[in-house]
Amino acid sequence: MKKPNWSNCTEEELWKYVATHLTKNGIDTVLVGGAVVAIYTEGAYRSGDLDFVLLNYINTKLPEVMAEIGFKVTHSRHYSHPKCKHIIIDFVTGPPGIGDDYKIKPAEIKSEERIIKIYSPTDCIRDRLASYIYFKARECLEQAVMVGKKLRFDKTKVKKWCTKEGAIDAFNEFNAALDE
Amino acid sequence: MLEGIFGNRTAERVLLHVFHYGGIYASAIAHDYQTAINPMKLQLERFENAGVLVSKEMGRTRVYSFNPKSPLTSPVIELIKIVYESIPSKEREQLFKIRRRPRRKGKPVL
Repeated sequence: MKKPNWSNCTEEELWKYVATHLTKNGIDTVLVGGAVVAIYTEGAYRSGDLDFVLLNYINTKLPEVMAEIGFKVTHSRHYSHPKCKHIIIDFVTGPPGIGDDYKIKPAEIKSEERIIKIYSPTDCIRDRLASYIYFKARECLEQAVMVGKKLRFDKTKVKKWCTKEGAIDAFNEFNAALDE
Repeated sequence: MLEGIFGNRTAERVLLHVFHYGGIYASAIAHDYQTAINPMKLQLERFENAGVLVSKEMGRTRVYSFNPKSPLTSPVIELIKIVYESIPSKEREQLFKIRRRPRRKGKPVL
């Protein structure tokens, strides 16, 4: 796969490059967090990091596979590339989950004859709303709205999840902002 | 009690403090157990790396709390709850004797 332009690549370009390389080496991941918003909004939001959840249980070769494409561990589980100063990569502990829901079915995208995975628009919205509900991070509500305005998603599922979390007010706020 | 599950006493102490206070920092736990700060810091970081805790800086202090976004957190809290509730109330008062909930500045503690 063609290397991204390290100095100004987008989250999407870097994600596809790294996730495809990992998949080729038997490491299955799903992209979660703010980078998903950056990708779904086509750069209207910039996250500055890629949060990968590892789907394999046994991962002994991650550092060496990341080193093959120039990434080195900088702090604990963070990887950075010497020429890519604007995006870091973090491998967060799995399983992928939003609150008590750990049966997440990620969206699958074909890249170089491989399948790479990312939160679906619905799960991206739930993930952002989770940060708004649990951590009172208002910018995450705005990110959920950005994705909701841009892409089709399962509003019933989002509403049901917010209700279960005891946060119907957050859903109502999100829903009202979609119409603005 | 959870030493055998989590591998060490510090892990149990850290989780009990997070459970009791909702949010806690390393030096507070170390103070309450009259022990060194570093093992507490390392244990808090381990739980954060595992996704069970999250942290944020408040002034110069890093405050840790349970990570409600992780599906692993609820089961861990359930385990801690069993241990917490099995601690005799007198001992619990001893362990968590410092009030850390909001209190108006200047209001005396009786």
